[in-house]
Amino acid sequence: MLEQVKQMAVDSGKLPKDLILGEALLYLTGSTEAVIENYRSILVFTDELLKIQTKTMRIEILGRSLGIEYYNQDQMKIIGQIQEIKFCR
Amino acid sequence: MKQSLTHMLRGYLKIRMTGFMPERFMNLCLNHTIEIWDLHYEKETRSWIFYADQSDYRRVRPFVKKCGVHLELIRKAGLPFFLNRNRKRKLYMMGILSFVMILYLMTQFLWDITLEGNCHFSDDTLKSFLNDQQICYGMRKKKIDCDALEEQIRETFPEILWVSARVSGTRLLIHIKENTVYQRIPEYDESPCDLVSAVDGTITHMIIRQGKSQVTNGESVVKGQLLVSGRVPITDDSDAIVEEKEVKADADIIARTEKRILLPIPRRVQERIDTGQIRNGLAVETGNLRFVFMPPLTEQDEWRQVRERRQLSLFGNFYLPVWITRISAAQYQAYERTMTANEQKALLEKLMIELQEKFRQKGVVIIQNNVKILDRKMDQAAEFHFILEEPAAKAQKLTESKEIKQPDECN
Repeated sequence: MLEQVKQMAVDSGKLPKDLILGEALLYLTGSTEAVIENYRSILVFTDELLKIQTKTMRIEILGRSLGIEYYNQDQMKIIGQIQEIKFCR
Repeated sequence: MKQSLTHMLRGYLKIRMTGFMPERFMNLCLNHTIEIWDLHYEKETRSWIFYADQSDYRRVRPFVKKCGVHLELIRKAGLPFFLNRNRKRKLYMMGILSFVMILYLMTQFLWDITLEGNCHFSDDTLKSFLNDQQICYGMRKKKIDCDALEEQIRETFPEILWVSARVSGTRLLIHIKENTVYQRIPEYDESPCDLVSAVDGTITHMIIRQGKSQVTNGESVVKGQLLVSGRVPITDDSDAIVEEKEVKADADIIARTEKRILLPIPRRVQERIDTGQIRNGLAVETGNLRFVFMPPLTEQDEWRQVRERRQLSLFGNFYLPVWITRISAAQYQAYERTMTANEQKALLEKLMIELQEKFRQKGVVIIQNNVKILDRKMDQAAEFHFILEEPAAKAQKLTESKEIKQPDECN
């Protein structure tokens, strides 16, 4: 119910979804850098797959020589050759 | 940059993690705000490598058992570990310590003065003024009172509208804004005077504003001849002079003059050909000491040297009393050869343009010009011949007045 109200408020008031609904923000710089905001935890991490849990979905990043340059409560910076990004509900 | 410096100062560890639930370990670190960076997976050893602060290493111990992982220290780096490693090397430590001390001491003095925005007042004038105020290189920074200095500059140079002085690092930065508009109306000398000719020539144009003309258009004049008299006679009805009024003679008088200029022209020119041999070096100067690091230049050969001198700075405005000169020397061979006709022509054209520009700057109009080369015994010379129209009048003190004959009184 609360989620529906929030969704309506976002749609009608054109409010930022990341603030109201807690949606993840993903910034890409070419195919070698990605910054994710509003994430919750790391589910799987290898050099070819990085699976991240956000509030509403899971994000899977596939590639080669993947690494985490830094991560904290706010954001995570991923480096390496990113080949594919999947969003799983 | 700032973060890596903090890591260096605090000391950090490179850790290898193997085990059952590494992701859980990462999430626990995240939730307990334990900083981990440069995390990557190593396929060959099936382990995860990451960096962490040495102080955080103790905090992650409880998570090790919980997640079933094993941590292995690969490398210790940073200042605390460096100091610990070298604690027995006393001289080494003393050297580093004295270097830091000297560096700190150096930063307590002024090593550079930068002036910006000055146009009318040259750097030399302002620096000599600063020197008079005992503000010079090598003085203690604490002794500089920027507010007082700004006030002194404004008082001494009233043409300076705004001044800002500040000490940044080991540098004194002075920004100046000068007044480009005249502050005082120039005072004209209104004392009576004559106008005499400054040149030998023929008068072509005359406009008399004040005074009595002594020459006419088309008349030839010689240098020093009176052109406009500052004594204006006042006559009565019978044209007899009753009084002479002294005024400042004022007129525009243009005279046509002739000018011959003789300039020597060399028959031979010196040519320099690079042999291709180049030697580079470095000179370090501090105080009266100068150390040159450069292979010696052979005395019998001729070398052209280019020196680039700059003051050493640690970063930004932290200048040190050390000057580094980059020396680049190229060997050449010089020989003399006869000047070609084209080169002579180009030289004459260049000289002609220079002379014309000089005349134009003086407000002289060139009516006609030509040049011819004179062959003399020892050398050559170019004779430039100009016909010019130039201002001819120059002010001169009034000449002695003649006695005025008083008209006979009629009974």
